[in-house]
Amino acid sequence: MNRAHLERIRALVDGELPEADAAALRLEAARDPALAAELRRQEALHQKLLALGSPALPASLSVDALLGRALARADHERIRAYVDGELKPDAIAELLANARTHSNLDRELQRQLALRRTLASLPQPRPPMPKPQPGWLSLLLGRRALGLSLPAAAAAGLLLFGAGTVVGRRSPTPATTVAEQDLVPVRFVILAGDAQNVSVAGSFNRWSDKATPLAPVGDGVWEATVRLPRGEHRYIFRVDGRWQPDPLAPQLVPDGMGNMDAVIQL
Amino acid sequence: MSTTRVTMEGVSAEEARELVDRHRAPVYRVALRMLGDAHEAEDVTQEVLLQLCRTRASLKPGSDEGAWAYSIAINRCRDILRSHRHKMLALAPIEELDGEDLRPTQDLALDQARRERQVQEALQLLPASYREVLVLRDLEGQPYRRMCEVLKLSETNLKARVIRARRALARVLVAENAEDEQ
Repeated sequence: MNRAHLERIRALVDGELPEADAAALRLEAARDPALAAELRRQEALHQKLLALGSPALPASLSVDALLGRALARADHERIRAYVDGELKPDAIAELLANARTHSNLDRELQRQLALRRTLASLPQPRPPMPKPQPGWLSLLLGRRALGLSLPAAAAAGLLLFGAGTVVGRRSPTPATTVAEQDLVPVRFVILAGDAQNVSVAGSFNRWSDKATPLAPVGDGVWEATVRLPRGEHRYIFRVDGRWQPDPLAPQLVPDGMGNMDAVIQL
Repeated sequence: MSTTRVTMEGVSAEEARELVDRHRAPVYRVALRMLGDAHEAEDVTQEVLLQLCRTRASLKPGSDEGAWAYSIAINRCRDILRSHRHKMLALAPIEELDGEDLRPTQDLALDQARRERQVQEALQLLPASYREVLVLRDLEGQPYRRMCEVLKLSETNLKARVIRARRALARVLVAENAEDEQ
């Protein structure tokens, strides 16, 4: 049986073959057992396939169920993009507007932001301390370290490494103890109307929204005074569970999560 | 989360509802026939419909929306099949079929459910490229022109593949019948 025969059988089964051609094919098949067998097989197969019922749609694929899950997925993706700082301003506005009217969406958004902040504030692991060796120490500390005893040299190495430890991924903070006289009193103030809870989270308190609460001082003003070491600090207010950039900050920078952190230099 | 909000990307809630309603059944049927697993087919249906809603706006005016939906569904099924280690039957050479037939008289004795199961199982043993043409042509009844668009094949190549796919399915069914008899 050649390819032309197979194509004519396909066309017959698909209903494409003109009546006269179909009759001619059947006549030919009557004289050719192999052609007849193939024709019979393909027609039987066609009948089998036609007889297959259409599967019923499960309840989980109702329009409402599908749309509900699709919307939830789209929301999760938008929240991810917002948290990752990928969402465009108009999409941010839409998301936040939706969050204001849909408590579930708002809860999820706040949960993801809190999670991101927690992760961002985790201390970076210190590099393992190399075992002090005389040659390594002389290279690190210079010629004057050559006279140090081994325990003293090891302590000097610890200090060098400790001074560079990054406490939060977002902003380096010295891990060494700062002398009291080097601390600068900083007063955080925000107008928060009839808010119930206000706090400030920043690079100085590992971005904790509980460590530094503000107190109401009347007329909707909340404040807290914190003594901070000199250097750069970043912060953002937390007002009734929402992140609120400082509107009076001298400098604001994107935090990569859709909000703006204030930056101060002391 | 709420289902009443208008937040589906690219389409309004009303358009999304219509789109989902139009395509959920064919997408599910194709996924079920291609994958042979109801749970996987449900997941694929969900994913494909979400993708349809997201990308509907990019569909050129006048394009065949049905072909586009089938195309996304078929591509998703291909991805899944590629990631599976599917059982494939070692098919006998086509020539060995000559003289055999599918014994329709015996088939008549089979109940509908068993026949369906037999064909569905046989479909699962075929390569995905054969399965998809059989699903679209013989089970979904799609015209060749639309199938060409879905599968990105010329009509000549597509028809040649349909012939090979049908013969391969016939071989599987003959082999299964022979096993049943033993």
